[in-house]
Amino acid sequence: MSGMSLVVKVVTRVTAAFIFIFGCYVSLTGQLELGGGFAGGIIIAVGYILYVLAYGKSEAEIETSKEGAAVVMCLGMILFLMLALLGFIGGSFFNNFLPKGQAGEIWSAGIIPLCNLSIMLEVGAGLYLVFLNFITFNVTVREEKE
Amino acid sequence: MIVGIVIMEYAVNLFLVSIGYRWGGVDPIIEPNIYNLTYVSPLPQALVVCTIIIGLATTILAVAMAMRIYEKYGTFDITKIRKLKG
Repeated sequence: MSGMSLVVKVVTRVTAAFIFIFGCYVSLTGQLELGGGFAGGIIIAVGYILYVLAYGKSEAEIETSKEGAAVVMCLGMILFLMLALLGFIGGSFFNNFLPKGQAGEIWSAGIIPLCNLSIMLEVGAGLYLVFLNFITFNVTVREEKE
Repeated sequence: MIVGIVIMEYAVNLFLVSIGYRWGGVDPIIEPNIYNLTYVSPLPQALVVCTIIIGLATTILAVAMAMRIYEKYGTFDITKIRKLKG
């Protein structure tokens, strides 16, 4: 499976990085503006999918791998669980124990920005892993005996 | 059939979000030093965020099952997929 024409490849090289940064912005300012962890993670996964579509399947298998995406996804899950277990410092499970600043700043509202970061890692890597598994599916039709 | 299920899920999510509308309301984001505004209700928006993710996971499962059916039978024709084995 080969990629697309040269014009698409040159434009994708420029825009894929901007899509990644925009996904990080949407995810980290979840407590001030619209967005949050889920929306930012999906935007990041779409940036990676654009790269795979423009350059072809063989090129994407050189650059990124299924094991790398699985490691990032599990890292996000473990980080979220650690943040919830650290809430025992405040008194109960999943307690908001970090200091809450003023409304309108980025570093405010306790552990919410860190939770958004971990969800962004998990959702982005998970969706990209699903897409890779759908692409590299070898269809071997078995003949059934009548 | 999978596309029909996805369209129905989008319709239900849109309906749930539109329940929280108030006449003359703005989006529920607090800005400093501005008072006396009517905000739309943010509660159904918080529910629908999780519902969209659940719909995505269900769609992934349905597509994986369809790929498995094609691998076993070689066709998507309903009249030929008749051999239900235990």
